[in-house]
Amino acid sequence: MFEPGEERPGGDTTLDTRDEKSFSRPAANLSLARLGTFEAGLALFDVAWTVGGEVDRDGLGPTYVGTSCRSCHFRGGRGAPPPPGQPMTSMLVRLSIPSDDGATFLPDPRYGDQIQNKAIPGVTPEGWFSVDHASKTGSYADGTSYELLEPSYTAHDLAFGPLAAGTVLSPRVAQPMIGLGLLAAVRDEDIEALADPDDANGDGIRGRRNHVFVEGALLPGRFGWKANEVDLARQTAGAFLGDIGITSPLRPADNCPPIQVDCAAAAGTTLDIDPARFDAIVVFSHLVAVPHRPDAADPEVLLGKTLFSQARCDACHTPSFVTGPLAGFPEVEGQRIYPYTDLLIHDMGPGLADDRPDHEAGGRDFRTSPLWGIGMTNLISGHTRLLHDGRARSIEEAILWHGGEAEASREAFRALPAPGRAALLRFVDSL
Amino acid sequence: MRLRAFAILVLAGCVLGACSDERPPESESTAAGSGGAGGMAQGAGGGASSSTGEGGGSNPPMPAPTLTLVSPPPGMAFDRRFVDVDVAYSVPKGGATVRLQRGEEILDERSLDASATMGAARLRLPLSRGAHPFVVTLVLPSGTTTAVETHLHGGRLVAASIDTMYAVRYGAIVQWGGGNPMPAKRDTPAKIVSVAEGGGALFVLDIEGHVFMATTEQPSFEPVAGLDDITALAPGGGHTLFLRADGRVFAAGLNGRGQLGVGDTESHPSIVEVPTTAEIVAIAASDDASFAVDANGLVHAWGSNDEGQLGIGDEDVSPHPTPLIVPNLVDIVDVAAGRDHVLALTTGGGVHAWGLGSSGQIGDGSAGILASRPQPVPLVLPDRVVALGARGNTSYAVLTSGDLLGWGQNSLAHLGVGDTNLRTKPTPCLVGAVRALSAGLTGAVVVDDAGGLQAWGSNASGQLGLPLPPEGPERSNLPVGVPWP
Repeated sequence: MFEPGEERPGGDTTLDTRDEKSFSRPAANLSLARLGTFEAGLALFDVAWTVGGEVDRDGLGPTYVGTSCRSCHFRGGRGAPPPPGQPMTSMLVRLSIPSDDGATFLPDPRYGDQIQNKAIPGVTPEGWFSVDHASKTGSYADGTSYELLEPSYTAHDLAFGPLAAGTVLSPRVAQPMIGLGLLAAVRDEDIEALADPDDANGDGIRGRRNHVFVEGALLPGRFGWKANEVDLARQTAGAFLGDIGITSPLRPADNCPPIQVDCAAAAGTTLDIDPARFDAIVVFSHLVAVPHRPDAADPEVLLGKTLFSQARCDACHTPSFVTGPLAGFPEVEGQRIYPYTDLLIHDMGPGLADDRPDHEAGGRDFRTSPLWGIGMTNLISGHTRLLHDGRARSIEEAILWHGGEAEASREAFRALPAPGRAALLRFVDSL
Repeated sequence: MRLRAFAILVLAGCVLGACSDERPPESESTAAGSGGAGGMAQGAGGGASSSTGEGGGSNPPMPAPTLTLVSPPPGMAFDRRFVDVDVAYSVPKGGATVRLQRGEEILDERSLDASATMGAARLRLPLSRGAHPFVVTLVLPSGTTTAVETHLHGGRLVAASIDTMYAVRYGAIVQWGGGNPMPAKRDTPAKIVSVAEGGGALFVLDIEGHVFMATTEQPSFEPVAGLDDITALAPGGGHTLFLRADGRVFAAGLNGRGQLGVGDTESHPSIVEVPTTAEIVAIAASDDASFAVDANGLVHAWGSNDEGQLGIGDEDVSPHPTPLIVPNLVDIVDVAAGRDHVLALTTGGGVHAWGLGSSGQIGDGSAGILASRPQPVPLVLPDRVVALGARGNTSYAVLTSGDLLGWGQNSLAHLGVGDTNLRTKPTPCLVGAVRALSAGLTGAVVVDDAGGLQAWGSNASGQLGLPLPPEGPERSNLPVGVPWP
């Protein structure tokens, strides 16, 4: 059943174009003054940071993953694994040594909690990882077979010795930039109403909030692969520092583990980005438009939507919210949105687990990914890789990787006849 | 001979009438009655009615089979090892075969869908050096054949240096500019089929695959030792790539950014082999980086990445002396490179661009400090592209119609679009029927379907064949015909 409004999943922010620049366009309801700030933020998103010489974009590194936000979020889109044997360019590897009880982790003593595979001149890059894939086959109930790719990672050129014993790897691709301010404006109580940490309703789907310590207070997280960041300013500051080596008001110190003395020697003592420009990029990250859905009322799409619901995919990929207040962002308030996420973390099973505990998220827990814009991945980013490490080559493969709390839904998908599967995929692709 | 003349005539009609936009006929009756469509050959030899062999003679006559060359335009020059030849056909009933032949040798063959009476087919032509005639034949199950005959050229027919233009004519080199606007033949080795210029060196390739080089200091052509059976040349800013007929790549020259791809950053004045992991079919060199397309359609890149020209997602200042695969880029058949940007042509005739974009040379609508693209971006184009050109901060694409699009820097009227405003998107150049193209640093030169030369851009050294300034113009933003000597 078509629901009026679902064709404009970002509410009044929705942009009625769907092209290769759709993931970096301003929300449709911005004032002129706001557009100016958005465009300044977009410029900062795209600009390559340098070392020395360029006054307004100096501060790269000392170690880093990319020179710009755009390096990983190319055209505001999603990252992907590199070709075999090559360094990563739009994804990174986090490092963690889980505690004995699995409840928390320590960073690697030599490399910190993330590998920076590049460095400015005079500083040693930490090393890099390549990705290989092993084939894993399966079949649908109707006998049709499929092949999944299971990734494995190989470290190269580790400059400060081997990783500490017990260090686990958490590869992460960059996430798309659309509609983030709308997600920030979803009311906490609406998210918590969906949580069922003890599975009180017995449907096998729990759903929990992650909570993060921020300045001494325990706050619910909603951004990042494990809902490990509470807001977009902190998410942005974390990525600036960890991925580009840019210090900002929220993260004022460069990231150099003690053993990396040349990194520490090259670290700056002043903020690389000033508060005004940092604010511009935070405004940008709140206000990228969500593209419309021209095929929302297509009969096959609507059939797929019904099957999506029957398979209980929507138990976690919650179709819709009405946003609440968000200080400083009136454009995203009070909007009926269709992000297809509950913003909760769920156990996704051992197949996808990265064994990295992150605050209250365990090694098998991931936040339900928003599905809006997912069908535009190829147009925006030039690939169709999905999931936190980009292992899935299509929406279909991403579904087949679902486990844990999503196992029953995955099995329901596997049991569908081919036309049903095609309709469900067409629906997800239309989002 | 009569057939040949007919085929060439209708092929020329195809070009002039821009019939490449036409799709295969929509219905059988259209197919049978569309004798006027360009590039179409009617059944020859035995004829359909005599081939049924079903006796009686009371059957209605079968509609004649047709075969149309869709792409590439006849006479087009390519400097890559393979060219896709697209044909459209209609047959009275299924089960036909389409075959690509050079002389008696069958170069490629496809069985057509037995259930289709019309459609399109693609054949792969291994291109050899110099004039390359070939025939596409539609063979019906009855043995009736319908053929179109055409030709391409293997090699670069024109080259534009910063102040001089070069063109291949009857196996020799004609040059003009360099202070003398009068085109004149230059002494070269015999049977030259290709010319290319870069980094102050002029390279020519003969029909046997030998490479010769001349420079300002050494103006007579000398053979380049260590090379044989070469099919393509790609000079960069201070290094040059050479593609051999067996798909191996060789290189020589400056190597400070790893642009020779041999794992080090020492210059190699004599030839070294680039260790590539697959058979290469096309090459290009930017100022200080190198690009190679393999037989699987992937692009290998090595050398400098300071403007994102390796397409690996980010800029960086480190040398990259070992070939990398450009991520998220598949089905590529050819590549071209300017100073720090790259164009890649897909099997479907689309173009992806990446690298430096400050002058609009990427073609995605951007220019300025934020316009560089360290990952390939697809371009919006009005039609399928068959060939690419790039040099400096300019980009070109030749459409199947022979029309030319240009974009990028235009301060010296580089693009031939009627003004000197830079273009950030592919823009029609005021020239048509292009069969060979060389983008230059101060202008460009093409060969048209009549074999004529047309050039635009700077005339400061007589590159347009016009009197030197101040008697002649400083530049022209419109194509100027340059007479052969």
